[in-house]
Amino acid sequence: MERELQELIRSYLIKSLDPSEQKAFEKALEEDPVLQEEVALLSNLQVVIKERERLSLKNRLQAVEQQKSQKKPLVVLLIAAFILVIALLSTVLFWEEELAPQELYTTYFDVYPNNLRPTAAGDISKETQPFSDYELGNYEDAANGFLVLMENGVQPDLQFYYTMSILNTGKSDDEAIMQLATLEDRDTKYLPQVLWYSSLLYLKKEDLENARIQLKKLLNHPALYKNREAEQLLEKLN
Amino acid sequence: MNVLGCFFYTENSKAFLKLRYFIYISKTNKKLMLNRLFQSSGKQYDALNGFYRAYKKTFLTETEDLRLDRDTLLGIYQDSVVATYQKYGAKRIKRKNADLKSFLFGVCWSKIEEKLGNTSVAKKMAAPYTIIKLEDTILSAEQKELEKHFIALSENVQQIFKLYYYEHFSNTQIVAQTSNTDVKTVESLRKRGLKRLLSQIKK
Repeated sequence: MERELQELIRSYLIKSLDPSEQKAFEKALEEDPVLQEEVALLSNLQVVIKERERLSLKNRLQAVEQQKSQKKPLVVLLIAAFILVIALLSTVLFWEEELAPQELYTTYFDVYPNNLRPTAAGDISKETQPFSDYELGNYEDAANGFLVLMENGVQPDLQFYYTMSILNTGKSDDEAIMQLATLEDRDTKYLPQVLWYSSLLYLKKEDLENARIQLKKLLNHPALYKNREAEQLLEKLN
Repeated sequence: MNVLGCFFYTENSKAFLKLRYFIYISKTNKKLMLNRLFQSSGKQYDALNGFYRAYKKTFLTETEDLRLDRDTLLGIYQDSVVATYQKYGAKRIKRKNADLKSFLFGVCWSKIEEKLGNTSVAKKMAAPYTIIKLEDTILSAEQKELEKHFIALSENVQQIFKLYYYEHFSNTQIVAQTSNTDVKTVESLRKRGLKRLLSQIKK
């Protein structure tokens, strides 16, 4: 009985009674003050619950929006951090290239081999001795020997090996540069090598401008000697 | 002595087992209750969020010339979505049909009209939807008093009231959605809750 009454009150409140039931219920309501109290309370309770639910649902939607807006700064921060890392990396690389020409020299330098007059065992003469010394790494002796060979007249190819000898000693870079500069105007088959080693010497002396000029000359020369390395170096220097 | 010791041991063990069983049942019930509540509210909020997302972009695009800031527009849209949800319920708004959209945008534009008042924008504006005006609920003093007593009830009883009078669930459905084990318990809790509210209102 009680259950039925509760169902009836709820149906009345949600307006789902059929017209005859509705009439009967309204009549009972007029006559029963206890029922009136209960219906009034439940009617108010419905409003209260609906309003509380409305606020709860709205809070839920606002929270969804807040979560979205909180995500954005994180994305922005991540992008900013990424850009910063890239910028730092670029700077580090750039600094390495700009500030370490001597390191570049060490990386690219190698002793030019003797291919003008290769020596054989027991082949010892005034003409072959400097080449033998050169091959053995006795560059000072080799330089002196080449000077002796050129007493009667300078031969550009011998002058090249003389220059290579003093360059390999590492003691007279300025003289080596000067010798290489004179060799550029001479008739020598070693012109590409002259350009290559002069660019390296300029690098060693941190004269990047002249190093670039020499490298460009080398790249314009029809021989393909050290072209790949010259391109790499130019790229790094630019 | 040994026999007595054995008796105590056995009795204590039984008590211990009973206690363990009680704790297990309580935990299981709590878990079950939480699961049910979570599933129920989860589905409900999924429907609401889905409906909210479905028309948000359209609404913001259509209202971008109205000289209302984004927060105001979002507030209007949120209120209107909730009103639509409360009118049609979770099941119906899942379908997202044209009638629901018309209702939602009708409510939205009625709120926009209210917001714009007599401004020049309002005079030039022609609402692209049939305006649907809904009365804002303002709780009376009596209702505010009732709300205080309602909040003071246990969460379980509040939930029963909400499911019965707001969601229009049957008692059996309430049993399925809550930690209450049977229909009689639900009825009894609701009856006692109602009695308590009546007595507190009369004070």
